[in-house]
Amino acid sequence: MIPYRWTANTLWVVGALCVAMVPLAWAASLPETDRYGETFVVYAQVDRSDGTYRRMLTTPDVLNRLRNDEPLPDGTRILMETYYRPGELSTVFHKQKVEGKWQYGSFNGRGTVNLSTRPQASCLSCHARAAATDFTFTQPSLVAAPGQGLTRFTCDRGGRSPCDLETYLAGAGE
Amino acid sequence: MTYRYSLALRVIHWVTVFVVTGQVLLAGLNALLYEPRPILAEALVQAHLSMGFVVFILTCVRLAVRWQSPAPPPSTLASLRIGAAIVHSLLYIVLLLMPVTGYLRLATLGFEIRYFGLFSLPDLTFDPALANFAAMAHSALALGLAGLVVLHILAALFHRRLDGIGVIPRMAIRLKY
Repeated sequence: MIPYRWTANTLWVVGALCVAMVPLAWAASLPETDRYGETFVVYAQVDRSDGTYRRMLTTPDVLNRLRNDEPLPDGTRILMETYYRPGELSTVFHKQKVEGKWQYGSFNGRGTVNLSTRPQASCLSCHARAAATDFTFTQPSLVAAPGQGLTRFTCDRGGRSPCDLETYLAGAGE
Repeated sequence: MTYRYSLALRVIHWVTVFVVTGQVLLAGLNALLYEPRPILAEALVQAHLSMGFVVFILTCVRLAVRWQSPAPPPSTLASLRIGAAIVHSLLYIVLLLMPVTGYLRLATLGFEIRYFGLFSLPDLTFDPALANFAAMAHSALALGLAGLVVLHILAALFHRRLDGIGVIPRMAIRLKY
């Protein structure tokens, strides 16, 4: 006969494990792709009113290393896929954190994958507007991804300019 | 009494016009191309940064030459004299501040600007707030410059009608007047 106390403790442990597994289950539910030679998961999609959209991706290990209220860890890599027509991948932007600083790169999504990065003036200058979120507009969505899965929201701004930071902050809560 | 600006000033004036027009094109093309052709757009930005340094040096040299060389007689109308002084002064200020704010918006983000790939200016303290302020100032100054240039051109075109003195030949690059 198993003592009642053991049974209760076991239930508590199993319950706690189940609760702890929820974020992992959400993370596991994120769409992923191997098209870049390794696994990347999609954590956000930014839709525009003109039908174009962008998908934000990162590597699974980044999701495991995220800590609330801390800068994104060194080695973090983020991809931004641009789609000007549904399903038709255009330019892929890539950024990587190296020794605390972001470096940037890009390649044609229909061409050879090139994940090299370097400091780039136009990327750096634009991302300075997101200094409050570690120079990453969708950082709130990235941090929320293990808990709530894919974030999908709309940027109403015309053209290809990024929306204000508030749009991305609000989007992460949806 | 001289009726033209010195040859040095006239050359600097037209070189500045040429370079600033190029700067506008480089900035505009960058905005258009940064997403479909990011590598080309980045090359355009590098050219924009280097040519900004040229604008700064040109303006400094221009002020030094302007200070030393005689100027044509001012307008007989006080309003035109004052208006010209204000617009010219603001043009000089904007032409100096635009390269400075362009430098600040990147140097305060830890980005090393290599002018013409040859040299760079000293590092600055990492300060994203200052970078964003400099970026906003750079954009505002660009709009201000556009307005001043329009005023400057209109004044040059209509000067003769206003006070009977045509000023365009003063800046023309021709040896005989």
